[in-house]
This record gives sequence, structure tokens and C-alpha cells, in this order.
Amino acid sequence: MLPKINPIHYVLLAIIFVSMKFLYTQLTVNDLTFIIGPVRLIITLFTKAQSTFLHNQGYYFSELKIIIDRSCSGFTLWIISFLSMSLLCIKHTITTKARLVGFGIAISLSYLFTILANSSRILTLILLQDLAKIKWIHEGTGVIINLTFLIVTYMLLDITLTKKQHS
Amino acid sequence: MKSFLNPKWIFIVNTLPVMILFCIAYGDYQVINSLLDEEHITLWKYFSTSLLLLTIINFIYAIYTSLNKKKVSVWYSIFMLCSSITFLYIYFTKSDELIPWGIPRWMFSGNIMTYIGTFLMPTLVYSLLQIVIKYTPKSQQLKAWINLLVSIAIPLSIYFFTLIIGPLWRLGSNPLGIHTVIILLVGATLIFLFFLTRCIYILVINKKETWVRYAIIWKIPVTVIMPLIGLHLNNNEFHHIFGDFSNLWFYILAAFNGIILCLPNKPKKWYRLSLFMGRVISFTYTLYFFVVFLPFLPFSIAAIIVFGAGFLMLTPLVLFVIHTNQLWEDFKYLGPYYSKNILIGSIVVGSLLIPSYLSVTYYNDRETLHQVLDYVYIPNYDKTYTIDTSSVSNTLSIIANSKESSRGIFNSQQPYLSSYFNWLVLDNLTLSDQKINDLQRIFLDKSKTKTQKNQIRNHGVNITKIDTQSKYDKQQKVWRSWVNLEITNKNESLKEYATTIDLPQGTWVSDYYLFVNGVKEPGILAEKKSAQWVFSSIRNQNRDPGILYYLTGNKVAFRVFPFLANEIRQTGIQLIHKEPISLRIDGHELDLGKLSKTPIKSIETKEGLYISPKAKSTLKKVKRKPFFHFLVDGSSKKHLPKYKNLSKKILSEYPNWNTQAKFTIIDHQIRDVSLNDDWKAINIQGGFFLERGIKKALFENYKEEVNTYPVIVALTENMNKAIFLDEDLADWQFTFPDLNNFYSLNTKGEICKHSLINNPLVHDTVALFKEGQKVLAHHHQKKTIAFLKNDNKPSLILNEKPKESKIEEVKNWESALNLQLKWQRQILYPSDDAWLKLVKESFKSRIMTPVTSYLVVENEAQKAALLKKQNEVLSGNKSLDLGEDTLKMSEPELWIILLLLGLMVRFKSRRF
Repeated sequence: MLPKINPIHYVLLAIIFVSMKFLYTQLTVNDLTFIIGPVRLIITLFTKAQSTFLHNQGYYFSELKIIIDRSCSGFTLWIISFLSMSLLCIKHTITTKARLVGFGIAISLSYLFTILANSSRILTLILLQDLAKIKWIHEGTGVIINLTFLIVTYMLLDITLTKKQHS
Repeated sequence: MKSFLNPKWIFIVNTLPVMILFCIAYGDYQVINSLLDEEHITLWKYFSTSLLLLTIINFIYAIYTSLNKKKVSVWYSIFMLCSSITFLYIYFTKSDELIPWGIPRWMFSGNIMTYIGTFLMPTLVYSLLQIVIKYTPKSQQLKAWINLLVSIAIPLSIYFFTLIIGPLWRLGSNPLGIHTVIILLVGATLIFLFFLTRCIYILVINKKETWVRYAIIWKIPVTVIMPLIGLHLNNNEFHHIFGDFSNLWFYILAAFNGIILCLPNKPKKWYRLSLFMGRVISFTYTLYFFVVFLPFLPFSIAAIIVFGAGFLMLTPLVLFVIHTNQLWEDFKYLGPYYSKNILIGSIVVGSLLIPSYLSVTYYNDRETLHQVLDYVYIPNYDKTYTIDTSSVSNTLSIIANSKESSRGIFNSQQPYLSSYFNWLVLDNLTLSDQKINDLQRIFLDKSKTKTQKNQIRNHGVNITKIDTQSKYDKQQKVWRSWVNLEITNKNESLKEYATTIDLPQGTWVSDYYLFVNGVKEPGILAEKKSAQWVFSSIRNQNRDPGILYYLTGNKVAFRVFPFLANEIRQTGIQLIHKEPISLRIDGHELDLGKLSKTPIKSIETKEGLYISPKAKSTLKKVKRKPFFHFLVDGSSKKHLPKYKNLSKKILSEYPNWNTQAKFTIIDHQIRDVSLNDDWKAINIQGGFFLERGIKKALFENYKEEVNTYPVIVALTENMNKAIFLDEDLADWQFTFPDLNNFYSLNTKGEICKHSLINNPLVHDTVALFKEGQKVLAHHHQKKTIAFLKNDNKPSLILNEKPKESKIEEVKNWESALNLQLKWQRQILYPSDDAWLKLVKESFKSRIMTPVTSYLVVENEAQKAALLKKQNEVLSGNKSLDLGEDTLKMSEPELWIILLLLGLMVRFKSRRF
């Protein structure tokens, strides 16, 4: 059975998207520890570098001379990954109830995904050392890693869900 | 038309506009929050909660009806209409309390009053349309003209009522009466709009043949004549009440739009496609005026009664309906001939044409403006600039016009477009009148009078008691001296105390206090421009601020306000200095600190050197060789040959000074020339920017560290036309140790002497050019040589290659010295980064520098306003406590990822 096209679900997604984006403008780095905290743990695990949390500024790694602040929280990636996972959910479900449950799963799954992708991005930038200071390399690396994560995850989930549907 | 009953429309007409409104209102609230009283804040909360509640109800209703596949009920429309009108009515009656008049209007992103109307009006129009559709059944043969007659009868009856019966009732004499009149008027407007909309609706659904056949008869007045008359009346008779639409393009587009809508719909596909494209392009114009006039829809009836010509206010609405209907007809006709993709593509491209053209034009203005601002305010003295003055002229006139005071209802020149311009071109900031004036003088030679700068004047407010306390800090080996002042206003009226203090070299302000209502309030160190902004806004409200800031050189302005009649106030300044100093405040001589047995020689820091008077006394005196540097007034081309001859004559009279003589022609640019060049061939544009010429001459001489110095001679007929942006060049003192003046010479051969350290436009007539005094040569860093002024005051020398210095301790003298040296370097090599770094380091060290200011404010709200303004000034930059080389791990922008994802999806869907 083909998935039902219900515009309300897309409108609902759009509203969630705009609300999340608006929410992000209002959040300070102190409110974002729930998303940058785990990233900081992963970085410490891999680099063995210690960090300190500076109020209103973020996690400062004095050894690595980097700071994980509001602009590197990964919140934007979270929004996009949530959006792509929700669209997948619309693609593979039929009823409104299933879709609403799917949206709920998408938000938690995209949160985990964001932490993983964002940590990988930061670790790569640390590996690049001085090269990461060049703006376009910094930006480009971020774009490549985030996009790769998004596409690979989307495809894997799509294949898994299609297989499940057929079985 | 029945598709309007689909509840999804509620998301578009209510949820989306209200969300945008919330974002705008939230942004504005954040700005004015600190200036609002508790009572006003509560009111803001009530209004936002009520609006949010109404929107949630609408949203839930829309979701419920959509899920259950129901149509929007008429009762719901009535509820939506009544609730929105009630909200708007209460909002307008309470608007004075929501936004008190004490809050400057420029603090808002636009006119919030009209924005509320704009964003709630779609809900009102939609509800009204719902009611009209419900009460106009298709089955009945209703007549459009009856509805038109009723709608015309309403304003007419109100007019006669107010003329004949109204005066007998005297409703307007008490508040209840006023409310009754307004409510009656709102009711009448609703009935009027109901019948008018019904009339249009009947015409649209019935499509009577006669209306279609003779469409040209009613289309020409509605789509061509009425918009043009409306524009003319707004721009001429009503003084831009709805905005400034006087630009010729508004008229051209109005005519084009009208003609393209009137052209007959012939059954030829290419002709029809062209027509469709034209109509799509001009639709943005129709849409713009529809949005602009939407909030005034309820006032149309009042406007019809009062002005008669008020029916023109309904033109954008009618035009919008006709235009939309026409586009739909075209789309349906072209459907069988062209693919849907081509038609939708045409809509997208066509509708983006006018906005894109506008954006590109604005973007060019932005580029020009930024280039001009860089050139004037953060110049690179090594660089040669080429600036297109015609583009500057255009951009400046747009900015100057946008600041004009007569702004109509929208508080801006062109509703929404001005906000877009401010955002794109000016980054939502503004260009001060002073800067606009300066730029117009430099680039356009518009000889406007210089705007009055803050005057430091004192009448009858004097220091009545001075007490000083100097303490030697053995650890840092510096003096910390408190100068406590008691100031008395001997007048019988409110006054300000203002004076200037000349700080000796090597002395800095490290603390400040002022007694406010018997409490000793410590000074806050703030960014200078923000502090001055707060001080002037508080002064306008007669509160209690005190401020200290650098003027030029080492001159510090000190102001306290207000002083009531015969009031005595206490204030104090802490100074940090290495050696004992003598200070003069308002005629009072003060000696701070005591001479030590071992006098200080020179102190070296990472940024440079401090040379004490003792150390200077041991330096070798040298006489540097003068040479003429002629700065020629290029603003008047006809005088150039005369100036050339004059300079030749002077060179022959002073043969010793002519070996390295330099010639520079100055208009808005600085161009070095020689006597062999054809001066008349140079393309001259703009005014005589003499200050830049002098600074460049001083910069080049200072950089070369040579055994010569320039005797600057400005060749001009009118020295008063010379452009100086700063009060004087005292900040540049370290670059002219030999001679602290320059000369001007006119074609009559009159020589005048001008000071570089005081107002340069004040002059003394002299007979001859005089050479400068001997200087002291200081060899440092083995290779370089610095020339210092031959006096018994300390001097500073900049290191050619400074080492990175960090602020380790607050109120540290060496940190202060480093900051002062950084400031000097910033004078020679200005940049935004250097300025920002200086501000941050000044905060850290708590030493006042030329980029910061000590300020005492009265309450927390003022402190919050100061911090907010300061954050705006410093926004988007690295934090204060971190090292400057810390790397931020910023993630890519949302739009980049979305764009790339979109492109990938598009590519994938094309391939498969």
C-alpha cells in the first residue's frame, strides 16, 4: 500500500522545523550542554585532553586550543537529521498514529546521530591542526562530514525499513 | 472559491503570520525590555499570552478539522473575526502603555503598530470571506449591484449621520462615547466590507457575460487610473502618508501592471504565455501594495467619509483579486499547451525578477558603502583607493533620505522595503548624521556646515573642594592617586559639570566613582561609543550619570549630570602613574606622588618603550632637515595651474627646503604628483580631504625614520572648506616631534599657521615659513632610530615588531603602557580587529583607554541597556577570557547543508 500524502503532516514538520530553529536562536551555550556535553566526553576519550566549562562560552580545551561553543553544538545538524528521518517515517508509514510515534523516534535517533557526526567532525578538524584554521577548509570539512553522515544514515535506514516492510 | 473552506488555509493565514509577528515582537521586546516598567512588562505578557492562546485555538481547530476532513464552520469564522477584532481593538487602545512614548521609535525594527495590523489582517480577511461564501449560496441568483449599492450606502449614511444627528448626541465628549463611536464604526466597516466582498464574489462566481465582454471599461479605471491617482495623491497631497512612493519606478510599474492586466486574452498560445509572464513579473508589485494596505482596510470607510478619495485605499485589494484571478485564468488556458514544470518555472522566475533586481541593487549599495566607510574610517595609509563617486552619491542619497523625519504611518520611507534596505545594506545599524555629512563633504563636495559636536562648557558649576591621596604600590612600583572632588552648582537652575583634563604621558585612569543619592557608585568600564550613547540618553531623562572618556591625545573629558540648584556632589578619579605628576583640573594645580631617590630611566615592554624625562635628558639632540610637502586643494580644478606656479615660487624662495619637496593633489583621494605632471589632466571628484593628506604625509615620514621632516603647506583658496573628521591631530603627536603646526597658502600669497594639536581651522597670519625645533634621537633595537620631542615630558616609542602581550593583572601600569602603545599602533594601522582587541584588553586590565570610558549609571536597567549596547558593538567576536588563537569548532551553516541536500535530491530524482 502506498503511503498516504497528508499535507498536514508536512505542515506539522515545517512548524517543528521553524520552532526548533527559533528555539536555537534563544538558547545560550549554557542551555546546550545536553548536546555538547556528550560530544565533549567523546573528544576527551579520543584525545585524552581535559576541558573546562566556561560560563556563557562553552567547553574549553586549553591543550588543543579549541572551544566547543554554541556555534559548534550540532543543533543545526540535529534539525536537519530530524527532518530527514521524519520524512523517511512519512515515506514508510501510513497511519497518523504511526507517523506521530515515528516523529518521536526520529527526534531521539537524530539526537544520537548528531552527537556521533558532530564528534567525528570535531575530531577530524583536530587532526587537520593548522589547516582547520583556513576558513574554507574548516567549512568544507564540516559540510563533507555532515552530508556524508546524513546521506549514509538516510540510505541505511531507508533500506532497512523497506526490507522490513517487504518481509 | 469553495476551496477557501479548506481548514489548511488557517495555517497560512493565521499560524504562519502570527509566528512571524511573534519573532519580530520578541526581537523588539528584547531591545526595549530594560526600559519598561513592571506594569508595562505585565501588559506585554498579557497581550502575548492572549495572542498565543488565540493562535493555539486556531491551530488545534485547523488540525482537528483537517484530520476529520471537515470544512471550516461559519461559527468558527465568526469567532475568529470577533476575537481578532477585539484583540486589535484592545491593543490599539493600550498601545501607548505597551510602548511608552519615552522609548525612542528608532529602537524598533519597524512600525510595530502597523505590523500587528499586517499580520492579523489575513485572519480577518479570511474570516470575512468565509462568512461571505457561507451567506452567498450559488443556487440563488444574487445581484452584484445591490450589494455594491448597500456598501456605498453605508459610508454615505454615516456621513449624513455625523453631519445631522451626530452633533445632537455629543458622543465624543466622554471616554464611553468615544468607545461607542469606535465600536459603531468598526461594525459599520465590517458590514461595508461584507457587502463589498460579496459584490466582488458574486461577480467572480457568476462571470456574467456583460462584465466579461465590457471588462475593458471597468478594468482601465481600476487597474490603471486608480493606482496612478493613488500614487499621485499619496506623494503630493497627503505627504507620503503611506510611505514614499515618489520614485519613478513605482509609476512605471503601476502603468505596466495596469496595461498588462487590461490587454485582451486572445487565444494564441505564445501571446498568452508572454502575457502570463508579464503578469507574473508585475504580480510582486500588486502583492506589495496589497500587503502595505492590508492593515488599513478597516480604516477605508473612515477614509471614504473624511477624504472622499479614501476609496482608493481599496484599490490594492481589488487589484489583488483581479490580478490573482487573471493569473489563474491564464494558467488554466496554458495548461493544455505547456507542461506544468514550464508554467511553475515561469511563475518562480517571473515572480523573483523584481525582488532579485532590488536585492542586487541594494547589494551594490552595500559594497559601495562598506568600501567608503573603510576608506574614511579605517584606512590603510599604504594603499591607493579607487572609489566610484557616482555610486557613492546614489547610496548616500538613499541613506540620507531614509533618515528624513517625515515618515508617515509606517515610520519608514518605503514600508518593508526600507527595513529590507536597512538589513541588507546597513546591517540593521544606522549611519549617524555626522558620518553622512562627512561622507557627503568628502565624496560629493557638498559643503554642509559641520554638525555641532559635544561642547565641553561650564557655567557656574565649579570645584569647591579637592582632596588627593597618593599611595605607592611597592610591588608594582607605581603610584595610585585618588583625586576626590566636591563640585557645587551655584546656579538656581539645573546644570551639568563638564571639564577636560590633560593627562601627562604615562598616566592612566584606573577607577572612578560618583555619589548617587548618598551612595558611592563605582564606575563601570565600558566601550566608549556605547557609554556615550547611554550617557546622552540618560542625560535626556535627567538621571544621574557621570562619565570620563578620551577626546584626542591625552585629553580626557569629564562630565557629571545633573546638578540641581545649589546642589553639591562628590566624585573621584583614580590615576595610576609611574612617576610623580602635576595635574591641572579646572584651574586647580595638583601634585601627585613624591620624587624618589632613584629616578626611572626607561621601561621596555612587549609593545615598546617608555622613556622618562630623566632618560630623555641623556639623549642626543639632532636637527632634522625640513622639506616642503605641498597639499594642493583639488576640489577646485581651475586653481590648479595657479597653485603649481605658487609652489614653484615658494621653492625658489626657500632653496634649502626644496630638495625632496613633495606635491599631493587632494580631492576625496590623495594623489602624489610632480611639477612635470599636467595637474589639470587629473580627474577631480569630491571635497578637499586635507586631514587624510596630512595624516598620510605624517605616516610616510614616520615610517621611513629618516633625518628629514615635512613642512606641510596646504595650497587652498578657502581653508574653511578643508575637511577634518577629528577635532585635531593630537593623537598623531608622536609622528611630528619637530613641528606641531602646518601652513596654508592662498593665491594672493597669504601665509597662515595652523595647529596640529588644537583646532586646525583656527589660524594666525604669518610672514614666513618657520622650521621646527631640534629633536632627540633614540636608538633602539640596535637598528632603528626614533625621534622624540625635545621636552621634559615622558615619551613612548613603538616596537617595530611587537611581541604578543597578555593582560595578567588588573590595574597594572605596564599593561596600561602596552595598551597605550597598541592604541598608537592602531592610529597608524587602523583595523576593526585591533580596535576590538583593545576594547577587550581595556576591560580586562580595568584601565581606561581611548576606546573605552568610565561611566556611573543610576540603576540596573541602565546597566543592562549599557551592556546590551556594548554586546551589539562587540557582537560575534571571540570571548574575553580566552586566548586570541583559540579555534572555534563551528558547524556548517544550515542553508549550505539544505542547499546541497536539495541539489542532491533533485539530481537523484532526475536520474531515476
